[in-house]
Amino acid sequence: MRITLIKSLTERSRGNTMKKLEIKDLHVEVDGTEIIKGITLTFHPGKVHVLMGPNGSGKSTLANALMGHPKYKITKGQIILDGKDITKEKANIRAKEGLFLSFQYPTEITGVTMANFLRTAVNTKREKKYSIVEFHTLLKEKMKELQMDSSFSKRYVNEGFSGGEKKRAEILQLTLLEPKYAILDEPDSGVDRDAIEILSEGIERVRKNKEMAIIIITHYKRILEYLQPDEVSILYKGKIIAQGNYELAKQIEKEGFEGVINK
Amino acid sequence: MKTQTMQSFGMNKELQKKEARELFNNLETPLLKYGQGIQVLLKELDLNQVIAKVNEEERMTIEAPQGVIIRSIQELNQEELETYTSLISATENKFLALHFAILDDWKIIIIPRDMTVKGPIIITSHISKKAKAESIIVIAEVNAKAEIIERSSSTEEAYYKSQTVQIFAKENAHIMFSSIQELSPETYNFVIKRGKVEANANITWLDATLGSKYTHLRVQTHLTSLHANTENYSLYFNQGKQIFDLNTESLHKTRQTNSNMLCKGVITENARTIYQGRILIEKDSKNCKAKQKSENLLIDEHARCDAVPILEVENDEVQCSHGATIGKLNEENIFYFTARGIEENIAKQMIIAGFLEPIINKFPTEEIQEHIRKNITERITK
Repeated sequence: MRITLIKSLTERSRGNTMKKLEIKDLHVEVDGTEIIKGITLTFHPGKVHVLMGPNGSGKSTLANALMGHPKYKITKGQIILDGKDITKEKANIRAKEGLFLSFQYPTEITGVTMANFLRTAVNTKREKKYSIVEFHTLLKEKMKELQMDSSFSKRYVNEGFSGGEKKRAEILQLTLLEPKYAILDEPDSGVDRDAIEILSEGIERVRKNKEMAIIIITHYKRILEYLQPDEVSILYKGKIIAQGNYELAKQIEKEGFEGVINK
Repeated sequence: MKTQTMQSFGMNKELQKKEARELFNNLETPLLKYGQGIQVLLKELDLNQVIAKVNEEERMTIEAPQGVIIRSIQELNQEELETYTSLISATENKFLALHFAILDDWKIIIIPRDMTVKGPIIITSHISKKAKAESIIVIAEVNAKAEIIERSSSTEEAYYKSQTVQIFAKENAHIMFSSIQELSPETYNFVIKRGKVEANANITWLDATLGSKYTHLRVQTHLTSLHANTENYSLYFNQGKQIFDLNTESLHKTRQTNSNMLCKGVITENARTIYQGRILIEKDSKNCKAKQKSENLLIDEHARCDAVPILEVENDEVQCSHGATIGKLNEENIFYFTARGIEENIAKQMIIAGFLEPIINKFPTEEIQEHIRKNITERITK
């Protein structure tokens, strides 16, 4: 009886306070070279966290390592998602636990249609699977929100997509998969002004509805005007060298990274 | 010798078979050697066993829409015989001599002038034992159009199968000939397909090579008149110890003829593929366009592939392109799937099937396409 009580208390506390993505003293190697040299960060549901840093500071490496890319070796540290250690889990398990990565350069896959790919991905997470027809209805609705042409679903995954179309397809996946923690690696690069607005609205909609945490890597302030970041972290040479609120991002936009790096 | 063999066809079947048998006895087994250290050794293949175990009971079946004429070899007159058996001869090599020595099962398909056949002509062959030879002749008269689907299967009791296909596409005729080969992994398979394409005519060859222990596939198209055109789309998937020895050729015998060949294949486990794609453009064949490409995907460490493009162009006024790639599964592609929650083995399955999809979706019916997809997906899962 007592055991049950304790257990239910633990579960409740887990429900309230453990909902976060924590990375603790993370070290990451690529081809034998250490790129991430001890990073500790926490991301909270519903919040927008911006990662900034000059080229080569390790932003994409961190994103890929968090998602579980086999080329990025975690040599030390932990990744804890809602209290569960996922440091050693494969990418598909991390995705099932609620992690998502919007790729900076999405790869092209011949012969697999967007519709087939997306349905397989969405159904993997679901107890009750969508039929082809049911999924088609859902997909059409989500594509309309992002102002995507309906022919899109019949095309092969990212094949022959323009830069902007690829980014739109990534956000489409975000809105379909509704993850708990979404890492967006430069969702705005190579995208025109109007499209940034459409993408931002799409991201905002699902963030608000699902209490999603957004971890965004960007060089531009335009997307931040829509997403209104809560926290800003500056990455340099594989370490976090400064943290702050939206003001820090604005300062960097004006003055560049020099001021922060030389501090 | 050649004319003699031709004349005796059909008129006196036993005599023709006897001559082929003699040729078989006198010819050396060809070395399956393709330069640069590429060679296939068929140590276990015993051609004398083939002669000793001929399956005379089973026959190909044909389902043909109305209007298509099916003939037996005996029904062709002397002139027709000489014309329509002219592309392939028993004298060429020991395998062909063997073919004609054991051949009983002929199917002759005639598409009459100006006829567009509604729906596919379906040829089915299933061999349940021993060794068997089959010959198909397709005669597409002027302005005739048809799609032919040929499906072959066998049981593990079937030792050897040989097949020849000869297609004659007369002026403005359009023929699509699709083969889905799903023989047992115990069956040796020798296939020679040749087509002759006349003015403004087209032959499209589609090949899905999936089964057999060893497949020796040769597809050759003779472009003999102005604006003759051929396309060749082939896919293969091999597994276990299967060996596929594939060769497609476009022979541009006159000016302003076009060809396009694309082969895509997947080699898994200990299987092996040799693919040779050859374009020949003769000296006076100016203003030809020819393309040839092969893309091969090696899945396992011990899988092996040799892809050899051969370009023989004897004049400068042509547009040609050719290329061969041998690659492995792209890690980034797999990660893209797993990052979306899809399990790694399902990701691989989808990527491999997708790799072949540009060829699969060229097959004429949805049912056949689904059948090929299923064959491949089931074997990837294995």
